[in-house]
Amino acid sequence: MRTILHVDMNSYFATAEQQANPYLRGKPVGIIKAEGRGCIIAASIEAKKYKIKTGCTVWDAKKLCPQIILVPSDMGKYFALTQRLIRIISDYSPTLEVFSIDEMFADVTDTQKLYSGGALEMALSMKQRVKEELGEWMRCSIGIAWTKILAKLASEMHKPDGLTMLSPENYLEETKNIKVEEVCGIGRARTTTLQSMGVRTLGEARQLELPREIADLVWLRVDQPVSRVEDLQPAKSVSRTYTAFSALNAQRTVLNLVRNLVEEAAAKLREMNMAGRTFCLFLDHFWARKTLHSSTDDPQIIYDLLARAYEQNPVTGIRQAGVSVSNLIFNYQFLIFDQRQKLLNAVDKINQKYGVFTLYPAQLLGGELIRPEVTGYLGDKYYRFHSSGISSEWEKAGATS
Amino acid sequence: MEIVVRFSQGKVKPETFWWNGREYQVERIPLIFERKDGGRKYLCFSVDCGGMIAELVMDKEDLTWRLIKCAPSYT
Repeated sequence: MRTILHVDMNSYFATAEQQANPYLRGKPVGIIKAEGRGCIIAASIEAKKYKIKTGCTVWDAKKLCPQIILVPSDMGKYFALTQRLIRIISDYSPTLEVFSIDEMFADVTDTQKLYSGGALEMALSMKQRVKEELGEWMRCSIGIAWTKILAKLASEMHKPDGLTMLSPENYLEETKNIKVEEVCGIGRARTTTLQSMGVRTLGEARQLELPREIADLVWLRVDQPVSRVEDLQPAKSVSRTYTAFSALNAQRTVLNLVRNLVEEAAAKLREMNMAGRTFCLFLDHFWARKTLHSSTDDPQIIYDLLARAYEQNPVTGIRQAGVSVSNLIFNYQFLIFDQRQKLLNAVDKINQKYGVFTLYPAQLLGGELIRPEVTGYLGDKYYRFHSSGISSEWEKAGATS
Repeated sequence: MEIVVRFSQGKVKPETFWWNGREYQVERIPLIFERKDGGRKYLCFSVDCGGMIAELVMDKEDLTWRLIKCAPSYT
């Protein structure tokens, strides 16, 4: 039987802000995307006591807790702490899966033997190191079980700063009151189906005859291996979305936003040594898809294509915009006589050396630039951990443990 | 901005800085982390100066320092 640890940072974004600013500690903090934004993207442990959750509007949050302190998110800071967390956890096992920016699994089946107290002692040591190396206010909950799904449920049982171990003897009893929607794999559709049968908890669901795939989830029989860095699959698409502060009422403003997003997506493609053939544009409910015969990573080509699609149906008054590139190929080779590619290479080198958007298209002059940002679910894990310093440190740590 | 830093035990720590004509003594450093902008790396220090929480940033390439965020500590 394997031993899997699930490490879950508690109220991660808000706790990181409380670590950086000690005067926020013990106070209800709501993380918002930026000043003036209307949605809480993360709440501190103190704010959660007022029933403030992710997705709550600022208006509702202030009604529930008038003294809430709103702090703009700083994804660069959170990702820097995640990198430090990865280095800590990889000291305990080379088989590590970064599930999202604040969650990871470690298969410690073999390495737990190095600790006299086994996985439990290991988990206590991890928690201590999180406090020492990330900061005294940073806390994590750890779940220990023999499958990923059980380890994740275990880590959610006692928060904050919890440590829960499930065994084959106690897991059915311990999990009977868990709501069905809390199980990874039971999504909205399955929850609705189960609720229509009068089922709310796992214990209730276990009383019923259910289709095999749902029964496996309800009885927690699903067992997936911990996927290591080398198991990660390359990206199937590169996309960038953005929600504006207010409705974009002019076509020029919409096109400038599209250009900005295309520049960012194309730069990411070049950084990943990839190119794409299919390009999508999303503007609230409007969408357009275009496919070329050959792949490209040139933002000018992508933008011209999407701008033409937009001009056929120039919607305005939109707030959400997104650009997506798919049909990707690796190791994209351009012609050595292609002057445009040489120019893009030069731009990339300058932006690499002096910072993103040091050079950018004149079309974007005078407006506020939207800059690249880490996302919470780390959709670009493959690229980040295969080619960044983390993977080498991760592998180094793995090799020595 | 002018700054005095201490190099000790292989680490660098800001101690005092002058900004907008005022002197700030760094009382504690609750968080140190690294930011990246393209390939450029910055070492960031969240510092508590008693009346103010600030983020001081050192460019690892040219060793210049900047203050990029500050907030009163009474929030």
